[in-house]
Amino acid sequence: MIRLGLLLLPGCVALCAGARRCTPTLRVALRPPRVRALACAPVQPAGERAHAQAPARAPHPATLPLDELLRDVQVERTRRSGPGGQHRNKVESAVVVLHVPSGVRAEASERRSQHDNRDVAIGRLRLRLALDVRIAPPDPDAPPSALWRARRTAAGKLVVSEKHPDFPALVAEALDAIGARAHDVRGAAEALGVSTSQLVKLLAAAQPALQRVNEARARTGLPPLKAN
Amino acid sequence: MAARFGQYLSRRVLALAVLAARPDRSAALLSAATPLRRHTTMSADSADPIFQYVVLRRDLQEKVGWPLGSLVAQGCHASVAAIAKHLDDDDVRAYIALDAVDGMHKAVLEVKGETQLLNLARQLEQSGVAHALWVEQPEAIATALASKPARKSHTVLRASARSTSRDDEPGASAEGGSVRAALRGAVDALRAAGVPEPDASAEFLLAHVLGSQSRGILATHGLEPLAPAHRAEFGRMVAERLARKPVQLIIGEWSFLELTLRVRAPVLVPRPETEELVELALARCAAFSAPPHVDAGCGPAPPVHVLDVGCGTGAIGLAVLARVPHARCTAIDVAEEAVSLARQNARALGLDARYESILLPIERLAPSAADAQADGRAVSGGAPAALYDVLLSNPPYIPEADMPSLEPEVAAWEDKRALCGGREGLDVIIAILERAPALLRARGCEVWLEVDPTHPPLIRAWLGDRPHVRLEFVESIRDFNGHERFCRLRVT
Repeated sequence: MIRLGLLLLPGCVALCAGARRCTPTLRVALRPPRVRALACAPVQPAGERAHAQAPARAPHPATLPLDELLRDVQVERTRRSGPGGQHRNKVESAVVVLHVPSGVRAEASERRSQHDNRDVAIGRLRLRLALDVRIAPPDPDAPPSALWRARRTAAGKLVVSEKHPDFPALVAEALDAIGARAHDVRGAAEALGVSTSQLVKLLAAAQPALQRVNEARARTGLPPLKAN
Repeated sequence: MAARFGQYLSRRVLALAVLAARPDRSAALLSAATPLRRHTTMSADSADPIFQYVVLRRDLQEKVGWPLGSLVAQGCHASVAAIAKHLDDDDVRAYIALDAVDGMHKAVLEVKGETQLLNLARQLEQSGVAHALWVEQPEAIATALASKPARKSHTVLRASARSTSRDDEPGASAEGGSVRAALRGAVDALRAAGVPEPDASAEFLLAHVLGSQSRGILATHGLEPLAPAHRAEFGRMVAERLARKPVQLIIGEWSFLELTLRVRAPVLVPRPETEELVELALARCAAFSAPPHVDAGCGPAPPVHVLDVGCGTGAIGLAVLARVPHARCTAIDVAEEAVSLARQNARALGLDARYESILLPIERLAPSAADAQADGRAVSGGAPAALYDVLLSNPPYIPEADMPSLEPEVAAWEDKRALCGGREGLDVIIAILERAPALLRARGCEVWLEVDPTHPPLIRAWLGDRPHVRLEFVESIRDFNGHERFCRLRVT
């Protein structure tokens, strides 16, 4: 498995940090050095020429539909002592889910059934993935995703509740766009077709996203952004 | 420590004052006597002496009929425990110092009953007053409470106890107290009593009182005051949990996959492993996937008949029906309570049109060619026909030898018939395997069982010794704890 350099924000996890744990079907895209690429995008078979048609923008794991995301997710086995099953009646049913390619984990234990806790954990995993995994879009000037366009109004507002299942995907897209522009949030907002304040509002709703962006900006001498 | 105190009790007369909640009902428990002091106490002591408060339950003597000696013993236990727990404390050391122990002061108070005692413990917890709650084992009832010996000026126990005793509403309190504080008190009481999962127990109970199925509500509402009615209800539930009643039975309902099921003792409370059984069967068993012509939109799916053996609350069958619109379920159980509870759950979930539960052991579910009907529904004689497409079961599978070591939550509250599977735990499983080929419609129909982790090799061996049994062992699957928990078999 070839490991490529990835665009990383501090605190982020390289998508293929656990490359040896990638499932066999994951393939790697080869790219000219100027543009950094997602390590787990569809690949051209070895025999084809490098200038073959460029694959479409590789999806961020937080944006994947559930059945595709689940292919890369393992529910971690809790090692509980004792026989379990009919022998025991426990109310605690914590679930930990692991996104194997990136090593990102999330957990939930507040619901009554293991099934419900798994649902909550996967939701949390999506958001963690949005925050911790960065992919570099092959073409920074490509238009925003269909989801993004569906969620933005003509006036440049972004309409989404942080509880909505679409929220992590939007956060991922926003952070990827910002990351690709060396944390120029205004430039990213422009490319995404929303106002800067709306973009900042989205980041603030997905703390610690705003905090991380500001930290990165501070490192490059840019002033911090504040949410209203 | 106890022996030493016993010596002192017999040789010294302790000063005891009984402060009854109602002066007209002063207890004749203990006579007041002047203390015998060997040693002159320091002036600071006489001005602000160190006191230990002991709180007894009036109802133990009057209603429950405990003899005086038992009541006194509870108070002594609490007193000793409160001291033992705080041996590092300056006041405690001063209290039991050899030259001061002859002059110990105690005040004995009373409360009406266990609820009030638990409320008091919680209030002390909120107020930060160190104390020990005595929970008598193995009955797991709170019987007495004692404060850590402390300067009289520093203690608020008296006021709390008196106000508790005067309450008419059990558990109602003039004081406020946040959700979080109530939770902490309950967790401490449960932990002190050795109840397993004290945090999770208290959290789920309090969340239910506040109207939520999720514990998350406690984080968001932690600092809000807890209404008196809620406090009372929570107190009652914690008292039940102290008696090792399972949380699910206290609440009366629990989640199973995406369903909410009513639960009721002695019917087995569904386990998370059984959720996994249903999900695996739904994912892997061909009977549950709609045939291609349905996916293409060319007509409805033919019904899939599920047989749930040992239905209990109805969890397995109802979960399948909820996910598979073209499924029908016949559920059997040997316990009347299970059959009626499963029926109740089916009705509550709106699934009763496709669900029937019958009081019947598997042995009597013999297929009969004469009774067989084309759609496989039960005949009114109570002996359902064969022709099931899939058999699912969480049969009793605990080996006899494991039964004595079951925790009280299971042993004291759940039907033994739902748990014990005989010497090796295989009795009902074998009864199912023997009858499955005749009950299932055709070759390829599957049997899915939840079993004890010792069973998969035993089942393979059993089948291996009986080639005439038209079943093949397809696979065993591990549960989320890594135990070999599920067996999948197929009619040959």
